[in-house]
Amino acid sequence: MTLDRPDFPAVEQPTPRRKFLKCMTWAGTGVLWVMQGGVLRAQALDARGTDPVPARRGDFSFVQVSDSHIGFHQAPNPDVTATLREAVAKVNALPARADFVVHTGDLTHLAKPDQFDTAAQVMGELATDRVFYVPGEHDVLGDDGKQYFSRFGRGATGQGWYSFDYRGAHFVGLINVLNFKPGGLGVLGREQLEWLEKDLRGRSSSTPIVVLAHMPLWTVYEQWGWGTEDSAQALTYLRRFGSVTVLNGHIHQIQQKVEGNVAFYTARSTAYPIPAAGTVPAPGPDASVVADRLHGLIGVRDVTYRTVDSALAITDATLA
Amino acid sequence: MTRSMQHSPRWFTPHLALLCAAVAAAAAFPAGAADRAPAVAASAAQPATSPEVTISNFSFQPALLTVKAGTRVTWTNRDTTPHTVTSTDKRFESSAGLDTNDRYSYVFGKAGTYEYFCSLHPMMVGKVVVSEP
Repeated sequence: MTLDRPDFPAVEQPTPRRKFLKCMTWAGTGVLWVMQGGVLRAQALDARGTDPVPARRGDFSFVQVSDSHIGFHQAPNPDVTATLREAVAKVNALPARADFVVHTGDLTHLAKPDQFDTAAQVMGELATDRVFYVPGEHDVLGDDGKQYFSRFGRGATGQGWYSFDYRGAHFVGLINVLNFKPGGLGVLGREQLEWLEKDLRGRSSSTPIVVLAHMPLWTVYEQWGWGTEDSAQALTYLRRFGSVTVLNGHIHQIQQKVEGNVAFYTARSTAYPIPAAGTVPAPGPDASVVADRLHGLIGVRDVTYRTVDSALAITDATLA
Repeated sequence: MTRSMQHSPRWFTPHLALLCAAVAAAAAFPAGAADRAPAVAASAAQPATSPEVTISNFSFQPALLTVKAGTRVTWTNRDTTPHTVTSTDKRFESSAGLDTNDRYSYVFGKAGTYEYFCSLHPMMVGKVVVSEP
């Protein structure tokens, strides 16, 4: 599937414009990713849209947004629509438009129609050509994703997974939030794994691969369910590729890990932070965060070099 | 695993809930504070007939509940994160998504063991054992 096909599994944006992006940034809701020489890299951008570090030329760039939880209305963030909108404004303030945006799940808090309406409206304000979505468990609540897929899963295959090629890179959108079993973690399931194997078979090992999924595809913290029980099988299909980047959400904080040529990354939420694994009894919203710190923790306002340096260092390590 | 270090408020026990409901009913207050006050008050002589399960800190408390057939069990979500009460094998009707302070009740009519979990956080599991009345 290529980007120009009409069945491309993305939601078309109202005002398409296409430009190359020179840098990548933490853009409120998440990260601006630049594909450069087959490897994804991140770079900071300040709130006014100027570039605080030397511009990096890339082949293309896209922004990752995650865990917007439209409908959540408690401490520490009573207005998650406003913070998503701030994130959108930061993406739109980029000096060059991102080629597309990906949202890695939990658009809504309770999968209610009005929550999907609000999410679609705010995401529709993004100044980018297309937005790709993968669902979070909150988006498929109660109806196994029927509403979600009818609105955000157009053109997908199977139970909603998809892949596409963009400027030499191969993107895969996976679903690991359906068919949960008691006591278990996220799950991809046999049908999806078989599809993934076929989808990747025959592709050159030099093809950069980017995998999108809501729950982490490695076990961050099993006690809190932060992992996917059959992700190891997926990795057996991915491992032969020279550059694999896995982008997840779900845990509302930045975590990174590298295994061989596979770099895993989880994004912040646009809604609220969750404390680090095991530091509190349960993985709920961190209600103790005071208002003036919230934006730093959901990544909407403050861009830190520390974070970006870390991302770059680890990503570079994969190349070595 | 130590996910239930923080207990639900001590005052929130089935016995106290029953007492409040009974007092409210006796004083002819509207049933607003305890949404099923009349039913609860009517069965106040048998405290075990309307047990509560509190959902707190991503756990069902108590995780194992033993009741007699015909008992209505009520779950209340005290977390700021939504949860569900989802029957593992579809042997009883599952709840919708429960937002903060939402309640869900189900009357277990037949004896048996009913396992359930949260469909959003599957590591959360619970069990209701129903004995003959």
